[in-house]
Amino acid sequence: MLQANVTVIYSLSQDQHFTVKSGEQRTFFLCLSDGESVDGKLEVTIDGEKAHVQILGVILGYGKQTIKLFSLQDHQRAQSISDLLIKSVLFDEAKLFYEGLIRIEKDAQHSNAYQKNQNLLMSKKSWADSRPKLEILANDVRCTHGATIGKIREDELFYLRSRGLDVKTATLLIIEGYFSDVVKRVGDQLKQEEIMSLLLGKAQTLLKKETN
Amino acid sequence: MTQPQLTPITDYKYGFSKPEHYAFKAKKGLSKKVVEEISWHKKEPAWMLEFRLKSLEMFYTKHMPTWGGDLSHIDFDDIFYYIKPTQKKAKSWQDLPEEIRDTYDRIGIPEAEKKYLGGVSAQYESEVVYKSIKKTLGKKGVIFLDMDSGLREYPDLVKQYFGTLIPPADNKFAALNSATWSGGSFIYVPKGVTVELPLQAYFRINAANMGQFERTLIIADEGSFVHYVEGCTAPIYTTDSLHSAVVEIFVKKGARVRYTTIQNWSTNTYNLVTKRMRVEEEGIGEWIDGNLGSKLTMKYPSVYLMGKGARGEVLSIAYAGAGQHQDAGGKAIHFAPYTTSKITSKSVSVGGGRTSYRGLIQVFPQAFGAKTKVVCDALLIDEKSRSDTYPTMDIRTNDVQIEHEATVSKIGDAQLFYLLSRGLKKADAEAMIVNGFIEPIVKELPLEYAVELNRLIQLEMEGSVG
Repeated sequence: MLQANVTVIYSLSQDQHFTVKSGEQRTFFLCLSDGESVDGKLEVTIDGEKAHVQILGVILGYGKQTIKLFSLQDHQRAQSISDLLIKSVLFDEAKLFYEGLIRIEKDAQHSNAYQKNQNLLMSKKSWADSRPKLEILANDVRCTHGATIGKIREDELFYLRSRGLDVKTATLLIIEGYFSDVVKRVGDQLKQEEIMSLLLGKAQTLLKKETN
Repeated sequence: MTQPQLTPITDYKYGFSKPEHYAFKAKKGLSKKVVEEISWHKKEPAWMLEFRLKSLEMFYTKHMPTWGGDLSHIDFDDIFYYIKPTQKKAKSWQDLPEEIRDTYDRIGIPEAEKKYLGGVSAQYESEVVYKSIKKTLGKKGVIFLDMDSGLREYPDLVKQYFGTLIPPADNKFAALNSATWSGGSFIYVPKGVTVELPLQAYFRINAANMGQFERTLIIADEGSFVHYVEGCTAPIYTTDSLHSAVVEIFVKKGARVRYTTIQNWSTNTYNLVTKRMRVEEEGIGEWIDGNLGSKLTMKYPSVYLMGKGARGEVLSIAYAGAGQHQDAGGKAIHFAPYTTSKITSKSVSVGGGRTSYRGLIQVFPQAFGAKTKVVCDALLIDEKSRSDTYPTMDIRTNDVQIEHEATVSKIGDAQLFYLLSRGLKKADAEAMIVNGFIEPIVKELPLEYAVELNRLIQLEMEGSVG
């Protein structure tokens, strides 16, 4: 579990660039839940060896919000690790356009880079547009990326309902599990609780609104 | 009898050129007059000339794509847009350069195909085979012609479909093809007919099949099945610097079409192709697409899933050696409920080559219950090579299941060590690993192609690893 050096980001801008040096361990945590339409970047350049970078993100979208997010994991030097995990839950007519690039430069041999983007669509009118990209110029590397888009699985919901939970409570529980997967990787108990309660409070309000 | 003039035009390893025999050759470059001449020589109906001229206008107004590979070196004015082939030419197999014969032997190409590829068309034995196949097909009502004959013999059928799935306005190269097309195949399979043998372009010997701007149209009527195979694993030398084909396929209700391509153009060629299938209710459309040759390939076979329960699949292999860029992939666009698609891509970059996977998954609101899975694996053989992955998932409804995953890695040290410890040479071991890597796609190829492809990769790997 990574400790220390957690940077929490609550809003996006066009010019959000971080450089990580040799041996540093950094976590960037993006939390978007204010319902504002945004268009911004989160770029991390690893200009050093044996650095370990985590980029985490939770996005709760609703209303007519449009979120455009570009993330960059730029490996300039050898033997560093970067690991990105961004999850979204999109209600109403919220739209997410996500583009993530892993770039491994020629001199960045022995790099490890991961990128995962998951999107949970809560309504018929919600959209997700996901473009996870890789540009690999060194060969002795391990890079993977994955993306999924879908709604809450019927079998998960069914299981919880068979245990006596109503749909909303069951849905909220699933969302909690889904987000906590990302949030628990922050490694800072206080921050984790703060972020989780913010997200779940919002999600609960949105679920309540849905049936009325 | 002309003696072949075997002047090496490039240093392409297996390159050879055929002496030119032509009855008519359009002027170099593109103009309204050239397009009119092409149409006149083919004695086309007026609507086709009109279509060509309209497409030419589109070509002039469309911009070059700003993404993908480097297209800045294409000189549209330095290309012959139409060469009318002459009568059969006689030439002996022995006249071909030794390396070519050797390559063909080592790949293990059947004798008949070998001679045909070598340009020894007069002695092409499979003419007999072709005639008997044609007879069987004819009885079932299957039409299998080159596109020019198709237009002549079935003008109404062609007019109904031609250019409707890939209109000239689609992109600059579709416009270019629409204006200057020549050759390609025309296939119609009637309702409920299953064509057991794969239809192969090289059976169709009445016209040149390797056109620069070939145009293929396949219509599979309800409940029918056809497998079409195009290209071959043998290196094809061409002096043409640009190959730009258009392939339109209509898969009707409950029908299934499989289209297999193995492309191995010489490394001076730009290969810019638009391929699309329109799949109706419960139909299945499959692309198997192998790209080995060319300088730059930009090709993304697509499936448009229009009817409920339609299914599309793309299997793509790309192999890029020195100086090559394979920008390939696939597209699946879901317009109807319960449609499913799968794209599997395997790419190998070696000796400074670059492979890029580029793909699109699009799901529209009415396509509830859609499922799709994309898997891209890339292998980087050395530090000079490069691999990119550029997928797009544009999902506009929530009742869907969309998955994408990709990995990029090198040949595993443990795998290599194991094989070396068994006494294999490094090149052989690497070739074996590469062949294992692309196996899931190769096993879908007709047997003879699969064997040829494996041998070809063996050959390429030998060359790349000192």
